[in-house]
Amino acid sequence: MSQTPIQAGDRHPARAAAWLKDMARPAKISIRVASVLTLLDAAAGIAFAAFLALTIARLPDGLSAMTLALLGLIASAALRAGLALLAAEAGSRAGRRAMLVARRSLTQAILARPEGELGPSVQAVCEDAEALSGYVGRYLPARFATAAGPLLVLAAAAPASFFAAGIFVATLIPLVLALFLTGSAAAAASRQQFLALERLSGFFMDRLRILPAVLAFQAEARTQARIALAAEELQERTMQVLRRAFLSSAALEFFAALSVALVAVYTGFSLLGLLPFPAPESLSLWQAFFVLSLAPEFYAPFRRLAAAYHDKQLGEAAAERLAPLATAPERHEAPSLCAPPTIRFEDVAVLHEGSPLRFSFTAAAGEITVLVGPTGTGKTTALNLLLGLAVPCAGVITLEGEALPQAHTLASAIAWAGQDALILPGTIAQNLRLAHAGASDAAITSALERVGLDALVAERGGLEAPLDERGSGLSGGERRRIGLARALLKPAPILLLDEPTADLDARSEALAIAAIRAAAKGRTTLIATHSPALAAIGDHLVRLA
Amino acid sequence: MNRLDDLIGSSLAQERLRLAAAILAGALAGSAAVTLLGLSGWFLTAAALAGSAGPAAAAAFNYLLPSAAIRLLAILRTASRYGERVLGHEAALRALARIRPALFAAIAHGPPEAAMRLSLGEASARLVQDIDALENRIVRRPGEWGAFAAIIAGAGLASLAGLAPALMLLMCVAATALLGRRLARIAGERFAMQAQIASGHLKERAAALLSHGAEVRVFGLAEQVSAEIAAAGERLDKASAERARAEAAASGFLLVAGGIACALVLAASTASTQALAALAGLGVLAGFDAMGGALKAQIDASRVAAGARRLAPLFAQGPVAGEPPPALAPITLCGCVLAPGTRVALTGPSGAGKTRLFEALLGLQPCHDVEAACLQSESSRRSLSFSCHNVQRKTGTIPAFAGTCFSARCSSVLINGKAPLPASRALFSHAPQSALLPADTVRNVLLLAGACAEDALWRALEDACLSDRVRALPRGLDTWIGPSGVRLSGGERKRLALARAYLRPSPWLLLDEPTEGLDAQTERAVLARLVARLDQTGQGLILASHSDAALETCALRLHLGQHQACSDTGPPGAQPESSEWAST
Repeated sequence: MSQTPIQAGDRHPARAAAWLKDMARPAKISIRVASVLTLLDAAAGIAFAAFLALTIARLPDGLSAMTLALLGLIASAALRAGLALLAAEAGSRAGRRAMLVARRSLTQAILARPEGELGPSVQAVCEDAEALSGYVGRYLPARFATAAGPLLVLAAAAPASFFAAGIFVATLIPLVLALFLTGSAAAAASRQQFLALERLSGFFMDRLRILPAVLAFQAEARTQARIALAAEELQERTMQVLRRAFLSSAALEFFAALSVALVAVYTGFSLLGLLPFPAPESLSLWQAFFVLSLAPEFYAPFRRLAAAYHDKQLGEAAAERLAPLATAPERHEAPSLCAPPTIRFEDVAVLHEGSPLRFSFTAAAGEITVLVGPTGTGKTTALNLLLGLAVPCAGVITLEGEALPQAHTLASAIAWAGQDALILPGTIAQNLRLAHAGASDAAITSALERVGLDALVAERGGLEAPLDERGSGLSGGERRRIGLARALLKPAPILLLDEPTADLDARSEALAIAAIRAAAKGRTTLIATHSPALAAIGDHLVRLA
Repeated sequence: MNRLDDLIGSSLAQERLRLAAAILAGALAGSAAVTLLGLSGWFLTAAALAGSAGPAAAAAFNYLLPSAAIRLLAILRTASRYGERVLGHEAALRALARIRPALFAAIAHGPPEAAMRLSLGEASARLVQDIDALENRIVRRPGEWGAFAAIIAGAGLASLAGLAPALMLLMCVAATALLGRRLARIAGERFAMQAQIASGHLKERAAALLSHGAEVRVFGLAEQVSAEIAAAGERLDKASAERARAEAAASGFLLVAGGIACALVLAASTASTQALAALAGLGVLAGFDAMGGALKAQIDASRVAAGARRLAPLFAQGPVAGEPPPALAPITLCGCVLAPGTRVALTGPSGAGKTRLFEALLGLQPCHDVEAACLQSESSRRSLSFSCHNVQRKTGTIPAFAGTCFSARCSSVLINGKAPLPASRALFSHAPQSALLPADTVRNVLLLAGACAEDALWRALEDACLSDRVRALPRGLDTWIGPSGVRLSGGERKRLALARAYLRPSPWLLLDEPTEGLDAQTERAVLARLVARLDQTGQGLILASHSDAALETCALRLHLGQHQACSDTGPPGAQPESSEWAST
């Protein structure tokens, strides 16, 4: 189920298609390899048909005459299996490559925009991106194979029986027409039902999500009845879509069966010499049997494409959701700073979870300003405005009197620490250098000392001790102090601290406060906090309400 | 047999006729496909023999019957395959339409802790995946009978060429089925386990890394972070590729097995005629082709089985509903007995257990030990029935809230002196902190509270200060608000949940942060209407809030989680920051 509702009005098929193309481009080679291998697989299928025909033709001469053909039969079946495996492998590699690229670019775009809800972002990166696997890995190679595969079979059939090849072509034309008609009817049906189907299939999960409310309102029976209704409607609508889709595969089956029947009847009558028209060619049993067993082969690529059609739909639906997310907004240069600036919030309004917050205050240059106020009054949001994570809907923020543009790059001039630090797999030193790549070991050691982490470093065996991705073995307080050390390390004229001492015991808090006081020297510092002890070091106090 | 199997069994039983028809059609389609190819091979080989035997033999050859049969089979194959698909899916989907509501009922009447766990995103996503896997299994079932029929038809054709080819075919099929089943299961198990771990890992990493937006910006870490997420994604993709590989391997395995079987059957048919050998050979190939779907279903078998194992405990017996307590039953919160109509505010820092206390009252969570202090305003003491058991009495001057203070450490939440039962939910109407709105129309969100007349809906919206907003919506009450109410703002979602709570005529209103996210003006209006409504209905109120304005609606306060609330020096704790900053 998708988290984001899709309205009929906000669909952008062109943008989605362009995005799909972009994602498939890096996987181009693997897609080609998969396509060519699929074609070779068809070639092996032709060889299999040839050996089968040869075996039948040699049957009267006994087992020894057939041996070679039988071995060829088995060998070409094995070759086919191998090629099909390799093709699937190449397709899966292409899909993985596309997903890798998509996840990377999506993450970067998400991180470059103002902070949104976490849930949909995680869903986009984790689940929606997975739809590319089928689209790039199965659908695209199948599409190529459908264009070229039947031609290959035709080229093999024509020398054996020109007329049978003609039958293949002749059944192809109504087949394509029927596929087009039934396929577009099925697509129209599924488009029509898309919104309803999405809502209905999400119904069960949605009611599970609000189960506590259902129980509290004693609405179990009512909700069960509505789930039953929704499930019934889902079933009816799904069947409407499926009936059309099955019709299109029935058309495929019918023409495949028809071509087998026509080839069998034609070659049979030709071999009997009973054709109602002058024989266009003389056939041997070998040739007749060969073209007969090629008939299913001729339609196999269409069958494969029909099987991949679902992948195409999933890929396109995911692209509709992801393409708008994947474009990162352009950011404007923030005013360049050579000294700690005065930051002024002039009637700045911002929407936070749908409700408006307003700020009007000044953070004096080189001094510490403390933001206080109950939860929900926007302390973090005020800091996020400077980071570009929140976007004001009114008012202006100025630095040294110069207005900050809407989407800006001020973050590069800011050092920041919050309640939880980002830990990437690597050594302690590497994690600190995330803040300042050029920091010397001495600078790092001193920053760690200032936040009281020297004991931990010594205990772990120095700066080069590894930290794993979850920072496991580090306590919450230790992680936070790593974040604080990073903020100390980065030479930036602005320092923002978001509840840097929340949940610390008194001793650790005193230590951290001393470090913050030292780090704030020569920077314009904004601290959001609930702690009276930390607030006491402020030069200015701003109460938000 | 567990209750899940019973449920699936009984749902499918109601579709017996359709399923039987689907299976019949599937069998017909499978055998028609095999016979079509086999008969075609026989026809042209026999025709070649007759043709080469001279014009007399050719003229004597009965071509009418086989050529008509070929055409008939082509049509039969298409029609029966279509019938199998439509009927099979219809039967399966209709059965599933019965399973979903029954499953919901089982969860709703099961242990509340399990239900609460399932309301979290990850667990419900897993549940839906498990149901999907089960559904796929049911949908595929008729097709498997088709494969079986195809094999039988293949064996039948081979037996025309003699006993040896038929036996050879059956031996090959048995070996293929046994070996293929085993291989598919092994591959499937590997896939299911790895992909599950990798998927959880990716989600966890993505959520952890994407929530560090500030550090990523400040230190320019977008490259590293996206590489990290992509690497975690690659692990999942590799595990999922295992499944694609397993499917490809299953097809490849069938191709090789089919090739070998065909060769063996042909080699065993040398005693027979060329035409019958052709019949047997092509029949074998078509039969093996039909086995593909059944083999692929085996790959998912372990996933389906694991899903069914996870679903089975949902049918565990929940608590007995019990008798609903009388409407005037008193409620005991942390030792304080609250008479009907009392208005009490729960205060305390985040994490002190206010929300849990609400959930305990509703019988959704077991009760935990909460430390609490009761504060009662001087002015309203006489009008309230109020007593505390096991309570230490302290006196102190509390700047913002003059009164007597009781501190209690007591885990009990009692209704009419008894632990909460599902039936005692009748006493309460709850507006939860996270709103918990269904993805539905405004009207249906409100009607979760019970059947109500249209004007009652508008009155409730009016009292939640939301009627103007709803009137302005494109389709009024019938506007779709999206999953979790995404089309509304945070404050609007809260007020909609409040209106829903108003609609339920219950002795007590439980409001968890009802004015969070509202601007001061709206908050005042909402609270004024709340008080007016309470005065009119005589409902009791239990309210959790950080907002002073909201707390003022209550004469009694219950402070959770901190002892210093009652000390002589400390503030009452409802707003720890406010009084301290006043002096800074």
